[in-house]
Amino acid sequence: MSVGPDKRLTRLELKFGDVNWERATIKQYELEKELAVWRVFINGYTKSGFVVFDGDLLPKEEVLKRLSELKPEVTAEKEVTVAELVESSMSWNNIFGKVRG
Amino acid sequence: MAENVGEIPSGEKEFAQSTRRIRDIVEFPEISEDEFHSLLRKASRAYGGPLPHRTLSICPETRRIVQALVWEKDGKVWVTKKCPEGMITDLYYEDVDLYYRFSKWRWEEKELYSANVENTGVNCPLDCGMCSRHRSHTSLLNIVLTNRCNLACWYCLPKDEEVLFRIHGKPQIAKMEDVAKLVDFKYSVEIDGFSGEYGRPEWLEVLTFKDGKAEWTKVAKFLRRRHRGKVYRITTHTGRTIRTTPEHKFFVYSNGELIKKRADELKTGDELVLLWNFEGGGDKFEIDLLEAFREIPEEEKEKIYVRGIGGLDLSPLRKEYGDKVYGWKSNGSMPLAAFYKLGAAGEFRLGRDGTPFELPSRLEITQALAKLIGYFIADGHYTDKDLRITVGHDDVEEEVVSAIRELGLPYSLLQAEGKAKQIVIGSRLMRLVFKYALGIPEKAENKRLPRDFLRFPFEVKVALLSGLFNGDGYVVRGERHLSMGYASVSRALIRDMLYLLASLGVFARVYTVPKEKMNGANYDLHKLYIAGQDMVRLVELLELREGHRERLGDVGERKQVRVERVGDFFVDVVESIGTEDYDGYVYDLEVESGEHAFVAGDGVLISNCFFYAKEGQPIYEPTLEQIRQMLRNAKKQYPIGANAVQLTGGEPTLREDLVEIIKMAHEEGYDHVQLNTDGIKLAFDPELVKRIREAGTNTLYMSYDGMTPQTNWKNHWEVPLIFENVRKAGGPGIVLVPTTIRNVNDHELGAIINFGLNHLDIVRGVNFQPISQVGRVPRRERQRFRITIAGAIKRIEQQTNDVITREDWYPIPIAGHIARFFEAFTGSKYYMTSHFACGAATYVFLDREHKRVVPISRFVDVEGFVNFLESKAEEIERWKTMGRLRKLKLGAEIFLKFKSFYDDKYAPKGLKVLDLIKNAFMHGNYDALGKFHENSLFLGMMHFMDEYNYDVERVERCVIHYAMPDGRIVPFCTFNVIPELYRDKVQAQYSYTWEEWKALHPDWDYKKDKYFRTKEFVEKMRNSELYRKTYIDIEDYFGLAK
Repeated sequence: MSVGPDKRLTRLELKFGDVNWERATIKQYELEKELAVWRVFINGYTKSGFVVFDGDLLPKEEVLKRLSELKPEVTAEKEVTVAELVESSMSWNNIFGKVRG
Repeated sequence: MAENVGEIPSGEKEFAQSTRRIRDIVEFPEISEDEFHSLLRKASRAYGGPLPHRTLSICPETRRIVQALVWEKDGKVWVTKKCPEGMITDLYYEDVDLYYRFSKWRWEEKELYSANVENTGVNCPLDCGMCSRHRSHTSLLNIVLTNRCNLACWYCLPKDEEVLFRIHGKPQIAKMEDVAKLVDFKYSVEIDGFSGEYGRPEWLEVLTFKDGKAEWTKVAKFLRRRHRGKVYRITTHTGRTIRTTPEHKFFVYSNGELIKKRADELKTGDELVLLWNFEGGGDKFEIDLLEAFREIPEEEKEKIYVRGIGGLDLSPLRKEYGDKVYGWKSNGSMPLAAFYKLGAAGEFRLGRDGTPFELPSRLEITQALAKLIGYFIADGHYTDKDLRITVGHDDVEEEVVSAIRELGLPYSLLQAEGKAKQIVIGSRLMRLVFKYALGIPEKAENKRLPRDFLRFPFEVKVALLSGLFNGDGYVVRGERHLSMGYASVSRALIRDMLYLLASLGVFARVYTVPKEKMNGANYDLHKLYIAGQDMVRLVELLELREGHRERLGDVGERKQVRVERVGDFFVDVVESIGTEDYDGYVYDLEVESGEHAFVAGDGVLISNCFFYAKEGQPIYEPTLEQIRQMLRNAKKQYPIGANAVQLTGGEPTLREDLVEIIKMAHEEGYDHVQLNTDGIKLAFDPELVKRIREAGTNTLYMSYDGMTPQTNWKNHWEVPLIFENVRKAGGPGIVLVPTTIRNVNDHELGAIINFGLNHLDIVRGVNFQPISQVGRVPRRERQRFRITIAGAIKRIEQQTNDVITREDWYPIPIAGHIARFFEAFTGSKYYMTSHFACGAATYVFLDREHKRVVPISRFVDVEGFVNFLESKAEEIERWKTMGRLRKLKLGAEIFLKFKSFYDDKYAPKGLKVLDLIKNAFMHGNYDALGKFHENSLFLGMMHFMDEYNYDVERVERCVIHYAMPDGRIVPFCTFNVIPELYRDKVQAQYSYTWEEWKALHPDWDYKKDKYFRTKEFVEKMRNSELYRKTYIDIEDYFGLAK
């Protein structure tokens, strides 16, 4: 069934105790392949990141288990609906910087 | 010529035809790891820097982001990367001079200051999109309207056809239907109107062809569907057979290359590719009799005793068996039936009734046992209580008895009057081992080798074969001929022996004597024979009995048998083709290997199932609300929103609400709406053409791969109708889109341009798309099909007799430099700032009076004029304001200056270029520029990347994007090259299962989506005036016919 806008997702803000760029990209790809994962970013330089996922398909414990080798620490957790995630992604909500002219 | 007629077009047949002749191969240069790292250290890093140039790419296998080197050798530009599995090189650009000329027009400014994800882009291309690192706004937005499609293909093997599988790592010849029992068919699929299903058995492998080697590859999908009709039985000259449905493709060896042919297209004499050698076998092989005996009849389980159970706790059985358990405990043995209820594991001994003979529960197949098995299969049979082997020679008797003694088996000799002697192995237990644990069937016509024979160690296989040949083998010696043979009425046994011999590196032929040619015979007789050097190898391997040795005598120097070997495979000709009626499931496999092939039947290499992933899988079709949101998302990019949208698929014309969507795009402020279509529906529905034009479709971006039904299998026959309908409707304009493939259609590029010029009233352009070889593609295939923009430009130069040369082309980002002027001059913002290697374009004009074609560069100094415009842009940017008067003055200046870049002498007659420029710059009337387009043909190139030539620098600058319903906007070359993260994944999240889709659309019929091209239609078109006007009675502007 096509996902509904009210579908609730979980967002975890993360710090990583043991990560570098290469391992971050590998792990990000692994998680990103999952149908349950809607957004993921692991920054190997700042040692931080986040993951937005469907907890019904992939429990939080499993997400953390997958990340365990990077020694993750959850710094924040919140719920977000698919509609909220989509809306927050719209271009008009993410303007930054200035252009010339 | 092969083509899709009387079926749903798929292109397989035409592709096979097109690739029969390989004109040229790209030879990838070798580069060592040391050289790679050395070049990498000194490589430039800034965008557009000189070669060698350092960038990032992805590994086709692991998807890791890896360092890559863009470098030059022999006048070409290559890309090399170091992946975890090794170095990979591919062609990046076929002309280093053009690469440098184009790089000068690179655009270095960032033009996008909005994003759609929080990812910063440090993990590009895994961070899409758009992320804050992306540099270009969306020039062309793609929205996938549906993954339904009107073209397809699908083909299969019957249920009792066999394939050499590796199941959980264990090689075994098995029937498709038996393996199917292990597969969880949880996915439904519907292809060509056939409902089917498939599973993803991760534990299943088959043999494939890889650079001549037989290698195991994983089965990605195991498919089945119902089939009622014919199946084809193909038999080769060396006696190999296989059965398939009529559509199934075979690899045919032709002119040194492999092409594909359907079973119903094969002809006697066609050369197939078959397996003769593969690596197999293992170390010590044991059968777990406790496990194997679970299949034996229940009464036998009562009679077989498990011995050595002293250490087991039998108390759980007391309730059911009472005091018997004490007796079992004290005797140290118990019935197998009761043992199974205990659920105990371990190593024991097995016996039957009160006989002293016993076997270990883990029975090792030793050489002696294997030889005995060989003798039994050759000349043995079962009775109700024992095994018997008929022996006709003393030396055979000695051999058999010797093996029996070594195994400690009870035996006796029996010889009835007038009959051959029989050796009776009086062990019911061993009878059960042969029948159930080894799986050797009863009756001569059903005989087979033990089911696990391919797992036997080398020496054990040799012993098995020795028993077989000593028992039923023979030596044929003629004056010049010498061979070893083996005859059986069991064709399945012959198949097993072919594989057994292949696993030992021995080639054999099969010859079948029909029963009709043998008096009183009930079955055909299948003779397997080995000659030449293969026989020498066999004789060296086997422990042959004295009789054979004597007859063989001195085998001497034998010649190699006359078959053409290609590594582990050989070439064999089709000898006969038969059909039989069939009703039941048929099966097919999709393999992971890039070769898309697997070995089936008697070792015949056949095509992998090429079923298009989109078809039959869950249906993706975004709602109108989602489409509107996607349109808005890209339109609101900052500071420059998307202005052009391409509605794509699948096939977008399959959507009932297409007209509504086109109107919606205009409502959302898009000036340009184009449909990416095969045009087939438009060929047969003139009203639809009218409706989409009226709704505001500007362009049909139409697949058009060549000038013949073979090179353009998708819509060759329908194009005349599409053109007619577009003419009647007064639009939309058409851009022909040839996917350009080396050795397939790269010889027709000039002809395609000529074709476009002949239909200039409706054809606005030709946009060549050099092939993107997405997925795992073997090196050899990349060498055959890879072409780049520079290569296509070179071919066009050759194929237009130097009318359109490489100097006539410009890189896409030159538009950025022009855009800069227009932004300053008019305030309108529209940048095409892709990487300079992504695309190229030009305009050619038709001088109808002189019937000549003139590229724009012949009468306009384009680069000079763009440089001038850019200098003016800088000037304007320094001004604080630009009043109307100042603007008019500047416009006049530009117009006057333009004259110095324009040479009327070479300009096409009838084209008032100066008037157009004057209108644009002095009167601000850009509508007039539209006429410029109508009198010319746009020629473009857009090379979408694949895993092998992937360059992150190109992705970061991509201008052709896909909007996704999850709020992201993704570059074309991540959407399609990494589908597991983008296209496929998001479409899966937003798709409907087959059942859900049917429930939501009760009137929908899958078959109606599909286009069935009838023979009658093709005949009608072939003989029509319309066809003639479209393809035949056309001008030859480039002197191609000469």
